[in-house]
Amino acid sequence: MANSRQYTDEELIQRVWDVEEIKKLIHKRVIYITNEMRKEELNDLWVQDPNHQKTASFGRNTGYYTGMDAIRDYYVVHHQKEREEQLKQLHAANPAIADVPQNLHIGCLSSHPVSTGLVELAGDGKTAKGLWYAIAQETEAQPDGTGKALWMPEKIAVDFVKEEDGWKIWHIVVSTDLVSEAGEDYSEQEVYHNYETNPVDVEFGTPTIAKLIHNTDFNWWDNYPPMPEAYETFSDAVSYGPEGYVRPALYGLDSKEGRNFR
Amino acid sequence: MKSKLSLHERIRNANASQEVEKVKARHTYLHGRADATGEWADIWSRDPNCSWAHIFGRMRGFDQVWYGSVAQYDKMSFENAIELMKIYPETAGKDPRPLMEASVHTLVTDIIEVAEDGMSARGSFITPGVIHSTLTADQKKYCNVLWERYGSDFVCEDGKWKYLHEQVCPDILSRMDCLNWAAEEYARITAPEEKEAPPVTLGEAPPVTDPGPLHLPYSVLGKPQNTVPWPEPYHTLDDENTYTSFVKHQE
Repeated sequence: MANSRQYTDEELIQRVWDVEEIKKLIHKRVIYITNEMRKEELNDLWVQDPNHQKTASFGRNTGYYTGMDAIRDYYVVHHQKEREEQLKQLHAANPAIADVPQNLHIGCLSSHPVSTGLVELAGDGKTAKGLWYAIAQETEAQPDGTGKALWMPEKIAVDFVKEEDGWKIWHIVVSTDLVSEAGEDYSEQEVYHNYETNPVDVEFGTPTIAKLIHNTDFNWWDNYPPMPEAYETFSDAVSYGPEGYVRPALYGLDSKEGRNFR
Repeated sequence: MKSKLSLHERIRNANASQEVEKVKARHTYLHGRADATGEWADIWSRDPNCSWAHIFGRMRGFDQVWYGSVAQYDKMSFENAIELMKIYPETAGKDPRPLMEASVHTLVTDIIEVAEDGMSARGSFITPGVIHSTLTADQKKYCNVLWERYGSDFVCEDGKWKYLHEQVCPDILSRMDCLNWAAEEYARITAPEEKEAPPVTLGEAPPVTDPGPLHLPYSVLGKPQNTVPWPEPYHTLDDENTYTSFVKHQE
């Protein structure tokens, strides 16, 4: 439902203020990611209210982790283990790099700077929805001492909720459009998306709700995650959590289907 | 500069600035799905003074803009869909428009001025964008980078902010990361046989009222062009403060 309320000056400046606070929040998330501070991101920027923590979600093209415990397990614990394994391999290839905790993240630098912000604050001012686009890159050291740099442009859709100490991230969907190694010819990649080898899908693993929510083979045809529209109050229907996902009504065939008539 | 506006007017304009940001972002996400109908039907003014400009010139008046930006654009996507269905039959029945490509003109470096009278706003933006598609008629996916500048005027109609004028100024275009726009341009202008500059838009140029070129992309022989300078604080939208001069009606 469109927000058609009339606001007093006091109410309107609070709404303007809230939108600016939300922009700062999502910008801080970018910096946390760049600094490999995922644990701090979850502690400082994500929901703290136990009821919100239960319903929090982290989505990518292949599904959602739900609840802060599952999100933390994927986003922090699993990531930490991968980084520890990476350091072991680096150390094995080059003993000058000691396998000690302070050397974690050596050779890693990821940046997902957001642009094109579209923030819709609920009419009741208690929640907000935002959509951004990032022309992101992730760079990692390889065991042979080289580095690997990937471009990964992506949409970032977020539900925010206002808790006692301010705005918090509640649901997020990071929808990666493509992954291409820097300096490589993207058009030489196999045409159809390969879920077995795509580094984003591999890293995401098997989420709590494993299902394809955005099929990049059809560009943005499935419109997920969608733009936020003006709304009065939060409900499942407008959520970027799994309860708000709607498969296109007339989906037709999936990738590679219907090809046997020749 | 000290504002002459009252507290109420400054709050109104701060909110208006955010509303204009949203309209501009909606353009990006609608265009990313090649949803020209959604764009021009929902976030554009139907005012006879509306305009949309690119290298090829400026379309003036809603009907000309609709023809060039919606009818012609949709035609390209439908033609593309017919070719796609022959190769990728699973595309049959899907909306042909987003299947054409995701043309994602991200927005950064915005400078937005809301008029003192609160009835219009002007903004300049840089868009370092990506344009990509997966299932294509030549069976190769692609991703291009396209950097442009925007000069945009907006008007408030019945409490809703709408686009009135848009001027798009492409600066650089190349395939993502594996080609070099400067080297390509040098090769083009030093080739023994004259070669036309590559197109920076899909399809044929639409009919325009003000013929182009209105802005030229990067050339090793060209200088930077300040075609859409940032807006300065202003009182009301007029010929001194606009990205498209208004048509003077004959008396």
